[in-house]
Amino acid sequence: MAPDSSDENNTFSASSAVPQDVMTISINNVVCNYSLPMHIDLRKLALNTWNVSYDRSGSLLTKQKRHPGCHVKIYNSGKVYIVGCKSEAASRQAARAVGREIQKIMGKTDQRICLRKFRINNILATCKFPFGILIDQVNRKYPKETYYEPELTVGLIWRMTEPKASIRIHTTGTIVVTGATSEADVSIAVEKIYDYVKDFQCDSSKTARNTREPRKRKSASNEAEIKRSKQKMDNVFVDDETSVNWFYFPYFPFLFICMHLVF
Amino acid sequence: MSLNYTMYRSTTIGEALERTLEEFASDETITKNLVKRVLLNFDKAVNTKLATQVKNRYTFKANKLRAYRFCDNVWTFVMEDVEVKDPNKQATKYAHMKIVACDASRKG
Repeated sequence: MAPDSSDENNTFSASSAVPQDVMTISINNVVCNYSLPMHIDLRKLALNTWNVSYDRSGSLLTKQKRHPGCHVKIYNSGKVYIVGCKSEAASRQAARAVGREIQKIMGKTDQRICLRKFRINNILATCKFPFGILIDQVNRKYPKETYYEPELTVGLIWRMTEPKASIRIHTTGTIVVTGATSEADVSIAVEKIYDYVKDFQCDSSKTARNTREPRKRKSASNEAEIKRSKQKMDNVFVDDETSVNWFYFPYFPFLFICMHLVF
Repeated sequence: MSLNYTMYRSTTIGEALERTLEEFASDETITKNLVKRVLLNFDKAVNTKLATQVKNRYTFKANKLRAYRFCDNVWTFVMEDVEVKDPNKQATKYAHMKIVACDASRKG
């Protein structure tokens, strides 16, 4: 399952896993770091470069690159961190570009400077499955790998060890993969999650929270309308078959209060 | 004598002062030491008055910030398609503009 080489989008499809729809995984952020085998004079670098910010109080110089768009942090020990690239290749390209700039400004163009210990620390990617997911059932079936605390976070956190990644699964079907170290790992993680989660599919309109219109303030004089809107609220609670929605009541304190008003 | 920014010596008024003082110094009307003292006084006066008495505000609105740099507490901006707005609300447009800004809270 090779990733598409479309550079504009930096997405690639998990087409082998899904029969009809093609799901696109979009990589939002790639974090990498490396070190250069020389001491960097940050002040000299700051004076000779644009889009640079160097605070004397810290030993850190921050830089922004336009192509590819990213933020770079440079230390005078030679360590460089790059954050914000949209793909692994772009990250590598940015790293080499920054290394080359530093080499030029420090005047070491005659020597061969290598990027030492280049590694990608973190890749953040998102994907949307075309179905909703019943995450509390997933939590019940896989208690060891998952962590679901609805009062803390909205999504379920799945800590995968092979490949090492942390995946947040939402009821709308959105999957967020963090902590992966390569694009291949991201796609493997998404495929594995798909296998686990496809048994807990549900219609995404049932789990969607914003099916109702937001409550509007109605003036007290319009009593008939108020009565009608209260009845509408009443009806929504009555015909839910799944036990899931009852579980989510604590999320909607205003509905909770409304229930008190109705009864 | 606390240190002040000497960059205001390159303004129109600062240059006029410097030229006048040079004339006096070449005529031996005043000593070179006095020239230096006068310029230091000028720096002090300009810095304090600009900080306290001058309330005019010029607005720079640019289409694109081409580059920025922050080093030694000095900001340098290079902007493109800038519209400079007077306090009297008259706007002039410039294709390129470079702003060099020193920190106003600290001196020297």
